[in-house]
Amino acid sequence: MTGARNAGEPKQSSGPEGLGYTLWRYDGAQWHIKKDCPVEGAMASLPPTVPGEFDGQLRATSCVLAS
Amino acid sequence: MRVSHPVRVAAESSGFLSRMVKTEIGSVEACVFRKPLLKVPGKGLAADSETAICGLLAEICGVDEHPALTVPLAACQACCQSHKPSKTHPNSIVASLLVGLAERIVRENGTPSCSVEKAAKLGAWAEKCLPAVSFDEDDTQDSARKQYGHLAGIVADDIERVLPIPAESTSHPQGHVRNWSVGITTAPRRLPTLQSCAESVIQAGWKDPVLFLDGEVAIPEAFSSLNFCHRTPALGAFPNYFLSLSELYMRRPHADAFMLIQDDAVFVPSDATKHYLERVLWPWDGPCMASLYCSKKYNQSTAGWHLFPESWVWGAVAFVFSNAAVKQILTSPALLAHRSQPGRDGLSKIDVVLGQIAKEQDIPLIFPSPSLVQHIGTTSTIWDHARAVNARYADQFIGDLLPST
Repeated sequence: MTGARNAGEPKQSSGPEGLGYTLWRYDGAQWHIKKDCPVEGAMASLPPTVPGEFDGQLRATSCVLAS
Repeated sequence: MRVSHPVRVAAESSGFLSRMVKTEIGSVEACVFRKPLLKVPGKGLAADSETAICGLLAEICGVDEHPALTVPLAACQACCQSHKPSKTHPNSIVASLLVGLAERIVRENGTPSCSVEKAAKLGAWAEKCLPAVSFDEDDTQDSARKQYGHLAGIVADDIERVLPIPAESTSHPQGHVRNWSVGITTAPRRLPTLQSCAESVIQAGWKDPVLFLDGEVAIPEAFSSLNFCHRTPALGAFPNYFLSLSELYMRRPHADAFMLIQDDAVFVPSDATKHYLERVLWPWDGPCMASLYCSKKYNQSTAGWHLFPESWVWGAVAFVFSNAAVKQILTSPALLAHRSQPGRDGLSKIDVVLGQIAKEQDIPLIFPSPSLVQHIGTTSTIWDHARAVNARYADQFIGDLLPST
């Protein structure tokens, strides 16, 4: 049995806390940042790769650790 | 604690579901909130018109008429494919539309029935209802809709081909589990998942799980013969979990394995799962615990069983404990210390505490990647608007990787 990788990530709660979130708005073709709310040391993730369904749709993505 | 008989119902239901019983669930035509706008001469309103009024938005905002209540067909289609929304728990489509509506009302300095202040609060609330997903994840997906009946005929060898058995288990046949003590913890949910969970547990080979009901939970009629423990008033997730684990031990103190499953877990519907696990557990003597659920956060590049080196935090969806491990956990000072935290702090974070105890007491914690269990909770019993998305979801679930039989 092998030891698991990715063991170096900082401990996080299993609850809704995390690194913050980014709110994206779909304009029918692309996602644009509407609001960026990372915690200290974090930043917005890549834009959503799953297209939206309609103009005006919003999606929140988890922020990631700033490199 | 008062022990009483919970209400048994013929099937899980919600008011919304019961209104859709005669039409296909998930179809735009079945949506009770949708009022099409396009009038077809001589034929009245057409149900597939390109735009419609969303009655749920109107209900939430308390606004009867507003241009922003008009929504495109694409939005309705996406909404109907997602998990069922309600006034208090909108899905991500309704939440998106609500933010837009609220912003327009604020720009217009309010309406007679929705002040600027009310609109601002609604908009902020709707924003919080959007689950924070990974950038490559679709937040409209309802994992509870996925079916795995096509895997009913698989055998343990099929699972083993995808998830190799560790060498330690093969060379330690005397450690193989033969006696189980199994339970399912459950609490009230707006969108119940107990039926799906219990069905899958029984189909996976454990025929008599004990149901541990925290608060007013209806037991589906199909499971009326199962033993249960009903706690009222509800204690909270953390106390229910560890009291339930204790009861599993008290009921069968000599069991080889104690498995406690949360009610938003699903297994592949074949007893191959149980047979497979009896080949894996336990790879060595002494205390050991296994999470059958592997969150996206813990995916490994090599398929198989892995030893978790740090403190586990992502998910107590389905844990199995060896006899020695359950005794160590139930007598751990950390258990009581966590419960004694003030307010709601001592009522949650089961996974964090299990991970902490395992780490502190050197209890090996193993887990499979891909996951043997999927987390389908659309609405959480603990966190107000948390859903099984992102790290609270297994994007590598064995049910999606096995070939049909």
